[in-house]
Amino acid sequence: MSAPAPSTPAPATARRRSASLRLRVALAAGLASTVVVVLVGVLASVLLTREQTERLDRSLVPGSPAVLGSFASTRADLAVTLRAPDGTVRRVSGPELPLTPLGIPISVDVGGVAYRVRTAPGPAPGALVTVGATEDDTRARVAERQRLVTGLGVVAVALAAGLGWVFAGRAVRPLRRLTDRAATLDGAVDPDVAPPTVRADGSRESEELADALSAMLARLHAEQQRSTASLHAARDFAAAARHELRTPLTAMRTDLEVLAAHPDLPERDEVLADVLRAQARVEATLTALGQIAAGDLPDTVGPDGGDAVGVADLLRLAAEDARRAHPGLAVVAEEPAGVVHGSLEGLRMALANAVVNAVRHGRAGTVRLGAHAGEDGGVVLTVDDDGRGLPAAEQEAVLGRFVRGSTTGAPGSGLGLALVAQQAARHDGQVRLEDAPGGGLRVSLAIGPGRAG
Amino acid sequence: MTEPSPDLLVVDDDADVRASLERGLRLSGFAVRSAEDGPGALRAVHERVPDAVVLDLGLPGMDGVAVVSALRAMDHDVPVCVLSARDTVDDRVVGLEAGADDYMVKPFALAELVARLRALLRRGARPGPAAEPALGEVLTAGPLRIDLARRTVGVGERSVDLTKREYELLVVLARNAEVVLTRERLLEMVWGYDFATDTNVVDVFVGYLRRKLEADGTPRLVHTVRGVGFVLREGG
Repeated sequence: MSAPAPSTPAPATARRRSASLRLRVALAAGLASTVVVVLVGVLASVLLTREQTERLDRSLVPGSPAVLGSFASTRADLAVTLRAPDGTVRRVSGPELPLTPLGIPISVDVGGVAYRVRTAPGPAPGALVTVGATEDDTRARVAERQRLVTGLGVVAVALAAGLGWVFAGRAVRPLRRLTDRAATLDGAVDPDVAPPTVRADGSRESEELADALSAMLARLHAEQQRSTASLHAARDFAAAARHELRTPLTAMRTDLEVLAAHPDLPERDEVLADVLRAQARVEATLTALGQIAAGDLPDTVGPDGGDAVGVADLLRLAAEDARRAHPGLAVVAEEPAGVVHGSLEGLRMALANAVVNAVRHGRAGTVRLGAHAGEDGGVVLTVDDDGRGLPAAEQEAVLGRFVRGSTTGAPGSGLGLALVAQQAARHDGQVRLEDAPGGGLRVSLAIGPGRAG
Repeated sequence: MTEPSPDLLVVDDDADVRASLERGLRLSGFAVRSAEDGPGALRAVHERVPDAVVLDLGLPGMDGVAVVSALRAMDHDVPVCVLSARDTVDDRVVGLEAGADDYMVKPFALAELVARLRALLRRGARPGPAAEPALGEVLTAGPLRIDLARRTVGVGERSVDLTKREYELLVVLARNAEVVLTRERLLEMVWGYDFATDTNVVDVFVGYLRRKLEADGTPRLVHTVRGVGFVLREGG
């Protein structure tokens, strides 16, 4: 049997390869860390902005106008606006700031520049001082920190993705090994060698996969062993069949040459009878071979199929067959109740072969066809004879193909009881030979419990 | 014409074959006894050694090969023709290797069996080419050394154990060293088959000889000349 060529990776055109597991894990790690980094970054940015603004607000503390003036003059980013109780505005420094609600710092736009301003009661009763500071510095500081956070975030994401790649590589290593191991298994399985097992320790998934693969290999191996065995059996059978046919043909040929060489032979009739007997042997062997071959076909009866056969009807038919085939034989058939499911023709042929065996090899004068319930719930068909019986040591061997008992004096194909055994196997049962109650041999053909009733 | 009929022993487990062979061989001028198994055959030989044995290989229990081996071990060198019902080479090989002289595959022509048996019997009664040694004569060819008086064969320092038929074939080839002998000529000189017969028994025995002579890597001595026959010579 030629092994299929080791399957090469499917061409890229036929099937696009998915991204590797390792890449997927790395991407997932990167994505997850991105989400985290963005959340943390946004939160940090908000907090930072608030903190910086509060700090700026604290610097907007009103003091005396003089102090404010001198202070403001030193700080280009500060603006101070003084309002008298009558509402006149006196700019101390910087642009004029709008009046804002008392005590609450707010952001305003003054001439295109963003200011943080706060209004407080002035030095004179009724006067109001509005102090403002540009927000540029604060914003710049915040932006700088945000850049830092962003940079750290990018680094963290890259690190997460990289580590994901590294760790995923370790995690998929068992799978890689498994792939390599599987790739080296060739299709040809030597039936004499135990099936190969694959191992991929390191992760539960890979171990489970390896176990599943090993189990599959074991199944394939068993299947292959079965088919190899049946191939061998078929070959042996063919050789044995050739052998079986050559023997009577040898006798025939010799007899025919004798007849040709000695036309006036006194024992001419005897030789002719021998030729006819040899011819009948060849024919019987061919018939049996045909039946064996038919019975060897993959199940023709089906696991629960076949006809519903009345046991009494079957025995009656078999008895009629026996009386017709063996005129001198006394045939007794019981009439038990019950039905079996199977092949009527197959069972009839099996019983006929058991009867032939009794007559030809046992020299029986009487056969008794019966049936009883088996111990396992099946039905057991029995053919008892009053013949010479068979030594217990041979009772199993003669069920084999082309095996003949030592006590027989008559020629035979060696296939009769093998045919009975084959039909029994076909009906989920087996054949047993034992001594019959009345001397002679009992052939018990058990039919499986699934086919009874 | 008072010469007694040659005494044949026919061994076959099949009653029909036994009966037809007994009758056919008897009508061909042999006195035939028969046995149906190996022990029976050896008992019959013990009773009276036959002139030749026709032996089925596929006997139950003690098979034909064992019978041949036993016969040869007891120093009976009666001609033995084995019958095989299997057409695989293995059976032929084992039967002849054990010391049988010829084989026939069932079914065979009775006339052919009779002719071969007669030839083997003639050869057995009359000294063959290998059985006429000048005293102390030794044939040599390269590493091969055949002591005709002692009937021993050596290759280099190693002595080679040959069956009778192998020995006779080797002697014929050695006496005619450098001469190409056809299969027909060899059948005639070694087996006494002076009639046309379809058999590859020569090739089988040449195969045995080669295996035994070349067992320790000795270069080939018995060469095949394609389409002609065989020749014993040193070197190609």
